[in-house]
Amino acid sequence: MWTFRAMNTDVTVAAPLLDEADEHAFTLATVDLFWTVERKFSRFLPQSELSRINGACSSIQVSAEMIELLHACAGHVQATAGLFDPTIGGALAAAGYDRTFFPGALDRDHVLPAPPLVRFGDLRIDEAARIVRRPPELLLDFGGFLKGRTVDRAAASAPSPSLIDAGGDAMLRGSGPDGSGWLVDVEDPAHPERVVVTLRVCDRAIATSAPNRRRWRIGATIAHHLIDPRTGRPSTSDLAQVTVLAPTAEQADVFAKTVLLLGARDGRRFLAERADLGAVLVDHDGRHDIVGAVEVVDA
Amino acid sequence: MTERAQPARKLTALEWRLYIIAVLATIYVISWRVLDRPAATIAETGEPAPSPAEPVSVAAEPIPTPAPPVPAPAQPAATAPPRAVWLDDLPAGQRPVVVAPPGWTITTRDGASQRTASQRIVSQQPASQLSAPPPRPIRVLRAPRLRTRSS
Repeated sequence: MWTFRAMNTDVTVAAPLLDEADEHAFTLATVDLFWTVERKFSRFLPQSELSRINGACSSIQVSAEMIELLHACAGHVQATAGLFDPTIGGALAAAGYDRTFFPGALDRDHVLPAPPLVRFGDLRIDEAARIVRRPPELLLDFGGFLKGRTVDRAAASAPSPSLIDAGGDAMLRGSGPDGSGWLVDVEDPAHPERVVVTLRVCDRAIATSAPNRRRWRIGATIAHHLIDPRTGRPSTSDLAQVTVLAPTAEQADVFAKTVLLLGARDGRRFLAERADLGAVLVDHDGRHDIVGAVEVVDA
Repeated sequence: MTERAQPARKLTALEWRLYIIAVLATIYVISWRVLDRPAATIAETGEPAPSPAEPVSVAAEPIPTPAPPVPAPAQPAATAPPRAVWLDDLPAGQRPVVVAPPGWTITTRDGASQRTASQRIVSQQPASQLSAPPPRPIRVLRAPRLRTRSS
């Protein structure tokens, strides 16, 4: 198993049935992929294509890869009725997430004014000409969605069994190192050293959404990175954590965030409409609920 | 008239010991004089050493031009030259070339004071430097078991 740092998170790669050299070679290919994607799509890199779009005062021509990414975003925006929205970059920055996160880096004393609400539909995209035009207050940020999508791209050429985990967005290919499935410990968001439940996963992706890891202080309040596009402010959901299992890491990430923003009641309804999803919902009292197709390992 | 040759006088044990001690002492003195040469080291000025883990972001800026030459510190005539000196205190023409490791760059502090305006190599947060090479993966020796975390 190998680990490296990319997209400001730890990425883990494991292919237990490969010999060390082959596993290392596969890891290096994964490193290159993450590095290439980050250089192009990070909002914290001033020379990335995403930063050029966010800094453009008028229409700008973009790469085919960017158009493909925006097209995928459009699909998720529609599927989640706008709860997934990559145009929250301005709201994130206004909430304090205006630079690379590490504990304490975003703390500040003054409360920032609420940003004007913008939506993905405010972005003008000409796919044929590959031209994008955004209103000035709209900033794109792909966030965890991009991690999941990159995991899927790396997993497309991965051997079986294999594990690729980027900051919690993971694709678990095959039936684990011993054929009985990959074991996944769902962390307790209030007490990270504890495990809420252990799952057995085969050939599925998993992602978790929770505000506990990226939090910072603004004045007397605590802000976090999960922006509710409906308000432009950090979510106040009754759920503390949502873990979703889905066919792809990209879907798992998008739907984990969606369900958390929806809350317990509407989140369960959302999951019930999708037979290929499973989830573990954890509330602020530490109680958890299993929804959909999820195999729990007996304690 | 001839004299009978006197037999060689044998050294006593004490004389042997003194003889050996004298030889060893001579060797020691010679070695000490040969090996005891002043070495060029960086003097400690009391400033805390830069921490490699200190999170310092580096803007994409050109490497700054060297500071104007600083006169060499005056040396008392009767004492040996200083054994250590900050690179910044050397005249520009005598400053050695420092090669930064891959992915690192040499920068200066904001120069708030003459004393602290020293060049240092700082690390870069990977997300802030497009030209930095990809990270090197580290092998982890434990059974692959996933633990969820928020992305």
